[in-house]
Amino acid sequence: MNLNGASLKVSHSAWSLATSGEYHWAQWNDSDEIVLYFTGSGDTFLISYFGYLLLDALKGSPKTAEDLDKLLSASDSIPHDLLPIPKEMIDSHLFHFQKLGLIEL
Amino acid sequence: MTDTISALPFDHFSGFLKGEGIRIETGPFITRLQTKLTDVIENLALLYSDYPISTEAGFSDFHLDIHKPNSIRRWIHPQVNFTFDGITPFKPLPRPQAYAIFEWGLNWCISNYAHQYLIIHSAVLEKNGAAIVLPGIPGAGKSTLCAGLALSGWRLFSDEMALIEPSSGQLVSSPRPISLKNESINIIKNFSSSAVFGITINDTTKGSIAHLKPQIESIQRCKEKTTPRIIAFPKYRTGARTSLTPLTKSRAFMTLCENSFNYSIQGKLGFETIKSLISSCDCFEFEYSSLDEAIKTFDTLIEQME
Amino acid sequence: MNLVVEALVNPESVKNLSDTQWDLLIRQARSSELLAHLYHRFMAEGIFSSIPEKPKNHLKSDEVLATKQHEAARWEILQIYQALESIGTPLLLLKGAAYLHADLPPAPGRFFSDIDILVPKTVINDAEEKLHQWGWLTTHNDDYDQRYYRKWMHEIPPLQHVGRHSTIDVHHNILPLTARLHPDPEKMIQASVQIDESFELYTLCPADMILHSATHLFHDGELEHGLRDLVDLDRLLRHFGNDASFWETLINRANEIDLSRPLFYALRYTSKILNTPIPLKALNSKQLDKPAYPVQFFMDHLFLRALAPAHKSSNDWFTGIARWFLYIRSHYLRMPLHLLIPHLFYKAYLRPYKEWRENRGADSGKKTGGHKESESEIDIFE
Repeated sequence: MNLNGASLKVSHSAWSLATSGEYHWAQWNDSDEIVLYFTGSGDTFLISYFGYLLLDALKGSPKTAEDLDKLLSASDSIPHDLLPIPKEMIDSHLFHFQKLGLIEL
Repeated sequence: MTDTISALPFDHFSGFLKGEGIRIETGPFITRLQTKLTDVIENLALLYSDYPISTEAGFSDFHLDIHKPNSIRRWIHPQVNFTFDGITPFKPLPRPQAYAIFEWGLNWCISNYAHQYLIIHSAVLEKNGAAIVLPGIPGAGKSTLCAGLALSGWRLFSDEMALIEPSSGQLVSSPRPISLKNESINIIKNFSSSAVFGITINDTTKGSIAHLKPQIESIQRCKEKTTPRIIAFPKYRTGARTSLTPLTKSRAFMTLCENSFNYSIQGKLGFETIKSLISSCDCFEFEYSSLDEAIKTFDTLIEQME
Repeated sequence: MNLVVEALVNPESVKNLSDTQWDLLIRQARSSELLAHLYHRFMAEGIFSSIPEKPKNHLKSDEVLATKQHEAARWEILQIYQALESIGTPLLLLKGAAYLHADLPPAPGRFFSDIDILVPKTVINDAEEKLHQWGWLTTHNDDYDQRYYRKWMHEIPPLQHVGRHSTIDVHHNILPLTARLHPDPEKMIQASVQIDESFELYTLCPADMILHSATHLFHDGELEHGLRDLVDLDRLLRHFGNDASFWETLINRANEIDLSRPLFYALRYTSKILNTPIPLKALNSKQLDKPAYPVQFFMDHLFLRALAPAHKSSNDWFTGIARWFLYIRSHYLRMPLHLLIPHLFYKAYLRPYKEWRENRGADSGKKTGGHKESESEIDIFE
């Protein structure tokens, strides 16, 4: 599938967490990878810290990729030397989360 | 269930198996077995001599029958069949593998019909009130390590399946003969002169296999549950130095899921059970080639626990 | 000895069971796919905690499995809904999926292997295409099967999802086109009721739901889970029958859509076997299409056996014959005899021959590396 084509479409839409299930997290202080169990699909995922920040930021109101970029860049969760966040990084995460049924438009 | 097979004359034991069946208790499970095959009967008499049994009717978890299929093939390629209460879940195997199909079949029953437990493909042993969980894909050297520990003062819970009670997070013991393959059979025979083996079955899909009789103490204490403290993913590699490498808990979580028979059907409860299991354990990757050193490593590790 | 039926009719009775009787009850319930159902019944009656530990574990274990299946089915329904949304016809769920989504009494602990949906025949090609785009592909690649389904059946060949392996049966009618009875799917779709506030999800109206279930069991020859299906009917009749006016509606509707005979059997056998409280007025209604007395007598012999648990403990010398006869009967009711005989012949003889030939082909392919593992081989243990 053409990721660029798909990301073009998604970058202007507002995303929210899927309503079809609950999110359960398991997190320990020995690494920044986080386990997510999503009751909707019944799947368990190992999620990067960045992925976790994105999903966490989607709690509450729907947000576009641009909103997420602003929100994460302004927070202290990402070290300043890693900024700015590459646009493709947010888009590809959103694209995959959608395919897994974790987020929806 | 107070009798043991050793208390029953062999003729009686054999007679019941050929007739109404014998009920054998292995920890939380009672299996009613019927079979007319003498190699199975003799191997059972040897390997299961210390288990509680009953010849009376009563509740059984699994009703198994090991028999020769009734087809014309039996004269050309003799085969053996496994049935679970009238259902035949697998294709028949060559006749010499009759005993193996019993052990495999019983494992199949537990992994398919005991979802009151979260079940992980893993060996489990206990010492000083703390248990180690040794999950492993076939060929990882899990059973060899398990046999070595069981012959060195560790209490065997299982060589195949960790049974975890979701409500308490405790491990339940269901000790059974340890299945060893190919070179492992001789490694364990050389390791301990007290090791008792059943017949060797050649040419299975796993190669040659033989079953090691569990120590009597493991069977007598099988109602005692215990707390998991260490998870180690073992890997045998020829010539490897013994090394215990910490594994992050989130990675250990995912690997345990992959090694679980029923995590995916346990839903949220399965997630919570593995989460609390991981939280209460130290997690490692363990590579070894020397069985003596491997046992020493786990002895030291368990002594250091408070 | 039929302990499952006893437990279903009078759950309290299990309090007096011996270990040996529990042993038999669990085995009969497992072969009837009713373990998880009994778990919920015992829970609802407040007697689960008084059950001995060992049988309790088996009830619990099956319940874990059923709950997982329900979670997965809810997810599948959502996926199907998304796939078919753009067609613009409401999605109508049938049987297990409908009970689950509408939260009806048969649902707790009920297993179902496929999701059944009903769509108007005019959009069936669209629906198949959309589902295809979302990853549901046909399971029957055999030309004969494809032709057979599309020409004669009330559904297209089952579709299976490539990733999740879930199966959907897409129906455009509730009986094959060749069947003796001719219910009109249009009428059933028109009367359907919405079962979800936020999605356009529908199911059959209460009377049609019962008639469909009865038709499936007593006309369609699906006796593999006969007792389980009879339990569905019992639960539905008790639930909707609470409203005294329902019985008249049900019987009238049965005549309207040509399903009066299956309804007669449903009322007869639920009340006979499961003590379902059916008003005498309904049972004796002149509106019901009853068979002649000798036929009734004969059918009793057949159904009372075929609806027992499929376990060797409840079989007698006549059980095998009864099931076989009902199987033939169901085919006879589905299609005219001149079609039936070639079909049974194909099923019984030609297909095994074809499979044998294909397997032989696969075997010779094996040597060149095309090895295919059978699922039924024991290969999970060291």
